[in-house]
Amino acid sequence: MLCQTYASEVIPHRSMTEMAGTSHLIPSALYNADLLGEDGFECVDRIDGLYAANDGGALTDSGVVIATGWTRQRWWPSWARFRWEFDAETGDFLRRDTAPGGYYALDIYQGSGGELWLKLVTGPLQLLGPDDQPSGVTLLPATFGAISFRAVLIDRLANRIVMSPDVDRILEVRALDTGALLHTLQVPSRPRDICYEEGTRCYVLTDSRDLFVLDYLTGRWFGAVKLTALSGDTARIAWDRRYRRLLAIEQVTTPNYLNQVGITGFAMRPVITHLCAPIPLKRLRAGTSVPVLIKAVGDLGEGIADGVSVAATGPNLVAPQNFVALDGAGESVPQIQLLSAGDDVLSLSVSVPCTF
Amino acid sequence: MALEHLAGPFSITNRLTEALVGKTIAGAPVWIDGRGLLLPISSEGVYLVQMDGAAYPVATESNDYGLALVGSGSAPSTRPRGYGLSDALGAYGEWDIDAVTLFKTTRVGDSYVTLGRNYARLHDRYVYPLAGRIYARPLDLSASGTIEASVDTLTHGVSLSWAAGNEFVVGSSDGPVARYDWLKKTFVGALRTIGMTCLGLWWSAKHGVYVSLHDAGETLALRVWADTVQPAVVGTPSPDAPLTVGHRTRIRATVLGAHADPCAGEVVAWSLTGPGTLAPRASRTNDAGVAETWYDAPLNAGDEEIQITVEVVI
Repeated sequence: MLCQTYASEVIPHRSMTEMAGTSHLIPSALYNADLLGEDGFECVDRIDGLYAANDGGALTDSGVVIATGWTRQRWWPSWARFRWEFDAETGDFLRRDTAPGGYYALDIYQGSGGELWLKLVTGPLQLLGPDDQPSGVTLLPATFGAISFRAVLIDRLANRIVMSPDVDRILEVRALDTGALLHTLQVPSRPRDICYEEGTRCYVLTDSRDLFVLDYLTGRWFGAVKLTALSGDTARIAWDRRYRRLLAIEQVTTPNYLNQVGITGFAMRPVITHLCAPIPLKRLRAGTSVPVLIKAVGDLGEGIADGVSVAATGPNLVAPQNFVALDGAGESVPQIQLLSAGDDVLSLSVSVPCTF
Repeated sequence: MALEHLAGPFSITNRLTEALVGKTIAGAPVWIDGRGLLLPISSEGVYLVQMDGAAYPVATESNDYGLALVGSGSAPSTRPRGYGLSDALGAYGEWDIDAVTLFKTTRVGDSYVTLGRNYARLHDRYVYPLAGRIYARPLDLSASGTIEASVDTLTHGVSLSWAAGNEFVVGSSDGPVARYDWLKKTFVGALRTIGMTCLGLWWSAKHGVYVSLHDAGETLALRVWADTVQPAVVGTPSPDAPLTVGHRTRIRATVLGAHADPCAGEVVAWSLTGPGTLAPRASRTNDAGVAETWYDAPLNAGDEEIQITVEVVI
């Protein structure tokens, strides 16, 4: 679990007046009769992109984070594609605009240089220009030994493409120019999304909500954490370089106008979710000191280096240190004095400061 | 029980769902110091289990466990091959599992991986325990296993874990645990036992305890054991020589576990009823489980009875 540090407003619905045209006046134009409610004539059907665009602005500009996706609407033509912009600092909703790609868009991925790549339902990956129009650069999945692209990250400077091939639980790193396979990496379930961090590092999110840090130049994993704040396998992630946050958004499983979603952001700081029961490591004998294993873990069972308060209640135990520092495995072995035989309670506590 | 029980049983519970994990182990669990027990469960996946039973899913299918053990840069798992084998779990989090590795059998297509037992990768060979024997295979797997050592009392050896120096620990599902010197190719030291059956038994070199996995009825459970023997029998104090007036005589008593294993380092308290003096009143057992004290008989001996008793201080 990561410490949440950001939450945007939810993606707002268009009001009746914002919905273009007069199709709602035509009875035969009714497509989604379930979408009927106050301010609820459309709903977000699928999120297909998430990225930050805030590292080139002025210092006073707080930057924006952008989600793209499809909506389902009550009247003809029953769908629309939008990009929704939010203030990267406050989370306020800023504006709505048409998303690139139109009807044939499948997903949008942000490359390491901040550029956008549009995946089409027909298979290719198109590089978008600054005007969100196709730049003429197109990648074909066959170049990279795949039938279709799934999650991709493109680093043109390092000449790498990180992608999940047609097989689950595999991540491949290939040369961008030749398609040559450089690394094959295993992940515990299907890679859902990949986003660039910095250098040659990226984050990989899987269906089982595991988030990995990968150096795709060397093919080495740096760490893993469980993103339990997400519930499903439809999430997209992005890295906000300016605020150094991992952004995430996911569509609810049964979208309707009541289920509105927003973007959340997390500091890359794993949070302790469980203090293990203290385990004595030597036989318990009155009048001796006994090393006791204290361990704190996160949602992936990973040890977390932090500090834990230890207190003994009762006459038989003495905890000489009231605060112990945990090592990189989240473990520490303080000595507990056993004064006399009997039952006593050893209490552990830790403070987890998270603003949300 | 011979080894002293320290903690448990802790039911193995998925901490994300607060549900007990299933009982069908899908392969060979392995203990990794500083991480926990990697436990593949059929139809559920692989859990990382802490000593107190807190379990966290780390792979969605138990098959992934095998996948995770194939090092980065090796052949994609979709291509058939003889063994998925690696000396590093670098592909999975940051877990360096170069201590103990796993085999899996040939996979076909993209599913149905069967994990075998624990193997230890040494500098010149793989070794694994099976039915009271230690087998070795060449690193290139060009030959099947050959017996390099036998021990009759360890007939159900199933689990491997590293110990200090040139040793690893073999845990047996009927309770015993032994140390094997892989340079000398012999078992070393005394056989210990937890005195109960288990599904796996590992040594945590970092913490100096044994961790065992058990079938606990509804679920699986973990127990933690000290590397010391729990006292069960305190022998009658006996003098080295007949007690003689005015002489000083050494008195000894032996402290043993339930399986006649010596209990080393236990503090015993001595007491005396009758004339004379006994000193010291407390002493510690040696490696053979023997504690000693001295009795000074008075000069003017009479018919009075003396009684020396000893008990372990718990």
